[in-house]
Amino acid sequence: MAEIARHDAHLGAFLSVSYPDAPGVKGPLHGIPYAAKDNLCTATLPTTCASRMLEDYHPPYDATVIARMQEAGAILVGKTNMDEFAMGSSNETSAFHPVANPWRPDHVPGGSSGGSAAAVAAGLVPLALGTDTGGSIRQPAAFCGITGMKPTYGAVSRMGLVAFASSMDQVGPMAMTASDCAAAMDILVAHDPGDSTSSDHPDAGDFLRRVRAAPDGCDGLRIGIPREYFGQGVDPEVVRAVRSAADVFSELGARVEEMSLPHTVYALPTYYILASAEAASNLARFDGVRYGRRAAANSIEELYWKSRGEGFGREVQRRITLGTFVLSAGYYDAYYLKAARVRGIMAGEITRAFAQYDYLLTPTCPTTAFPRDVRTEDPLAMYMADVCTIPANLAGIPAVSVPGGLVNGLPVGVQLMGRRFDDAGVLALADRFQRATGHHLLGPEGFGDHRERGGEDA
Amino acid sequence: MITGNGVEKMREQYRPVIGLEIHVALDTESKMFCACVNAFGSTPNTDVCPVCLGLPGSLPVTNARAIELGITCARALGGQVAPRTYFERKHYHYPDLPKGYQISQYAAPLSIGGELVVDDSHSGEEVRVRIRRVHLEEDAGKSMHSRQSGHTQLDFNRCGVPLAEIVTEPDITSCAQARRFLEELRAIMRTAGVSRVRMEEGELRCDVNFNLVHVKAGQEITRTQISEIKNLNSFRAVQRALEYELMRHRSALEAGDGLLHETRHWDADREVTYAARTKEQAHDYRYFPDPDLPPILIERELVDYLAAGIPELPRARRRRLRETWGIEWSQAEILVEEPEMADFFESAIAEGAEPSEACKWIVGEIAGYLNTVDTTLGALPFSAADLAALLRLVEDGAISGKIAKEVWLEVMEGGGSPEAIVERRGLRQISDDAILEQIIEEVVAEHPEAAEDYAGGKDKTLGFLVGQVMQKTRGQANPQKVNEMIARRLRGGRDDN
Amino acid sequence: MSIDADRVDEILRLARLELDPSERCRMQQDLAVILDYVSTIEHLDTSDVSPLHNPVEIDENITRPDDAHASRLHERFLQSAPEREGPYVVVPRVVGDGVSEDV
Repeated sequence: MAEIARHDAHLGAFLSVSYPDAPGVKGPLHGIPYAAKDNLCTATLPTTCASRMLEDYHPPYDATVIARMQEAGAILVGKTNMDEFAMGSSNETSAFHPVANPWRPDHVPGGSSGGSAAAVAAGLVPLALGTDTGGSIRQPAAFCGITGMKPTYGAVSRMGLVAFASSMDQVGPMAMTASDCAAAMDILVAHDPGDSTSSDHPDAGDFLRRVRAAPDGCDGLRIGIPREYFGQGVDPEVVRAVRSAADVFSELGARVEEMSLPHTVYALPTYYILASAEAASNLARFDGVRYGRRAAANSIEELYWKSRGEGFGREVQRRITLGTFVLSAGYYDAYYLKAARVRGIMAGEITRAFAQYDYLLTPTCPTTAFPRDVRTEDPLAMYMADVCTIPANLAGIPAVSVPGGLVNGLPVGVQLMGRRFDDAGVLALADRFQRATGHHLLGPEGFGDHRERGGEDA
Repeated sequence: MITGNGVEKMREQYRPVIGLEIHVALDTESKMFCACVNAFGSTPNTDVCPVCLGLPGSLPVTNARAIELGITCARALGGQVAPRTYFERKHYHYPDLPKGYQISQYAAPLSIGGELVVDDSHSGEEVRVRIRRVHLEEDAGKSMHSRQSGHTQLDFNRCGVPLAEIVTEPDITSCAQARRFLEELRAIMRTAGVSRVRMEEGELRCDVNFNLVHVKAGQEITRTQISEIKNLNSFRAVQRALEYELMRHRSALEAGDGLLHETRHWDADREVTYAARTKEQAHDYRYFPDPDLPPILIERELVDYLAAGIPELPRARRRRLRETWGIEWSQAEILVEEPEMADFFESAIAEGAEPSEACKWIVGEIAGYLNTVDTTLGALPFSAADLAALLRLVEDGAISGKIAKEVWLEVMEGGGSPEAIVERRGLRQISDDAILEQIIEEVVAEHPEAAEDYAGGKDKTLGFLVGQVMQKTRGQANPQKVNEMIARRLRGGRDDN
Repeated sequence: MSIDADRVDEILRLARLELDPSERCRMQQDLAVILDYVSTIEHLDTSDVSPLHNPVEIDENITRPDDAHASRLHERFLQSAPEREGPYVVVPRVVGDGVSEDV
């Protein structure tokens, strides 16, 4: 805990820490310290979503994933910083303080799970839980040189996850290796009758075993590389890193080829319409009445306007405004409904691709970690960071980002995507990649030897 | 003022156009989307949980029974149940609406169509009121103004209670009809087991849409804009509010004013409606399908199964009871209003009771008693067999009607068999001639003038003398016998004259 | 695509967001830029596609049995409410339509 305090003064990865006793429970993750993103409800620590709206909010219950981690013997050491209400790609919209990228402190760690990514990358914890709605686990994992997984939508319970976009949000693990992520998935993935969108996963509890049992080679696997992910705006160095990852897979025996997902370019606008609409709706409950920030007011209307005006930061307000607009009378059909149909087209296109290919290989993000304060004024520029990650949320498919090397001293992320419920396959493939390369073993300077923290005893 | 028959039709009329939107609380154990108890009257803010409070991170899970009761409600009204239905979020801000949206239905309601026939027992007319739709939604909490503290107090116990919303077409054409509609709907909901419609627990609330059409010689001349009166929670309030609106709209038309389309509220104390105080801005509910809830697929077999389980509906039952047992319309209405009562009636007949007598006792003594106690017929300690036994005792002359009422009161209050009570309290009617003669002699001896009066032709005094005998026997003498015997005894005197 | 000030005001009213004039102005600009961008999906032919609201495919209804149990969290909930009067959560007096009753 002392080390956490020492390093975190510079990083800003944590919003709250606890000083827990060793767990009494002996479980698969016995004694493993972990951090949880601050949009996961914890009864023992505040849950702020990095917002003034919930600055002093203490939920009366634990999120399902938190309860499951506790039952497994893991030790929650703190809640991590994030973009406010998970809306952002740089952890700069946190109402409290930004997070520094451990590789280069004047660069962003990515978002919205920036705190979780930085905490793992800096070796403060071996495992952190993040959440991913449009790339919020994968993109910061890429920027911080760690492994981050977004499970199949429905695989992990959303009960206790403060909702952003209900049809896209998923909780997922962030760690140094794919096999660590698999060990965490063994705990996280389970059907929850309290979440009507949660499914029974065929490999629940079996991820680590599947990863370890996978053959060393990739014979017979078909990997597609959609050309639309390599367009304008993607850093040539990032392209090179992905191509070299492709070579690794070819050498391992996979059939790797370029293919096309023509509607990819529509992912970003579709996502922003749908996610903002769902967000505007999910955040309607923050009105100062029952919990959270209540502004001084003489009437109920004043209470609403002021509490929300003061409690929400600019990006959140922007998304609420956009979301309200696209659902409003006269615009619903042209925007929301239209976007939902486009989502249908894209999901269909991706499903058809998986008839020809087993996995898709793409960059996680068009660039490496960008400097702080450069994209904060231009919302569209910030949104562009999500182009490669969003399609997986629209289609609900599993996707993992693994470190793919360094560019100018900054980590590059390589993304693997698979069919719905093939989380084990995606992790196994990522694991093979990691055993064949050493990119995931690289760490930022000054944060100790955290290579040893990897690996779990199952 | 408003008429519908004969010559009146040819003249000038003002025809009301009324549509209703009714919210009925479903009779489930738990709430619509969480396991909190569906109850009334608990200490404020105790029947709540993260889901119905809309705490961050909470998620809804649909109550299967609420779906079934919704389907049953729809079929009881003859609606067509959708094979695929889903919930949508209806957004607005109000302090008793925790999530800032209500989970309701919009584009794909549970059912469309159907009708409810209102019989006008006086005119014999039948009004077919079409049902536009039935859908499911969750209730909001309660807000109460505190005049002293200047605050509004919020109780979230009611949040999440399952509701069926029933919307009619504007087919109702009088205020009394609207009330009859609601009474019939209540009877149907109770019969079908969808809701117990306990008005005092707020289990039925009604919004009404009213406007008035001016007709001359069968042609429409003009009509007023629609007034929506919201949140009426008694049938009386519905009728009174509509009557008030009728007057208000009529005056407006006579003054050449078409009125505005507006929302109004009912002031129960002053018995007037008033326009909503805040500047009414258009609601934009921003409906969209709730992403937390997958659609519900409803199989034909389930609909048929639930529909088959609906007992005989009130209208059909009233008709059948009248036709089969010859009871009065007004009696049939009382019996059928509470399905248990009609069941009781038919059981009593099965146990041998004479139908019109059984009916009289049920709508009289039993219904009267039920009004004074806070319980249901089924919870009272007697059966239809007990009533049949009582009626048999009266028919056999074992007890008088008056004594029967006393006996029955004891049965209703504490149970027991009528025969046993009669024996225990020694209430058997005295029909033994010898005993009666003796008492009659005593009475005649005590009241010689009365006896003389009767003998002299004053028939009225017979009643007095009979009364005296009844008194002496504490009501247990058989009154008809006493009557005959005194008459014979004294007539002897008359014949002599 | 430009978006007029009245429209923005109406949206902010629906969303109950109080912004000062310069924030409001900025929001109008940002919104215009974003809407312009997201409108690029307008020209896609979606006439024979069903909207996808959630990636989960259901083969049977997701419901729960009608069993009631108490959550026992109501005490903690009340304790953390911003303002309360006895068992009630309170807000400044609400004036206008839709109120249940006066006490």
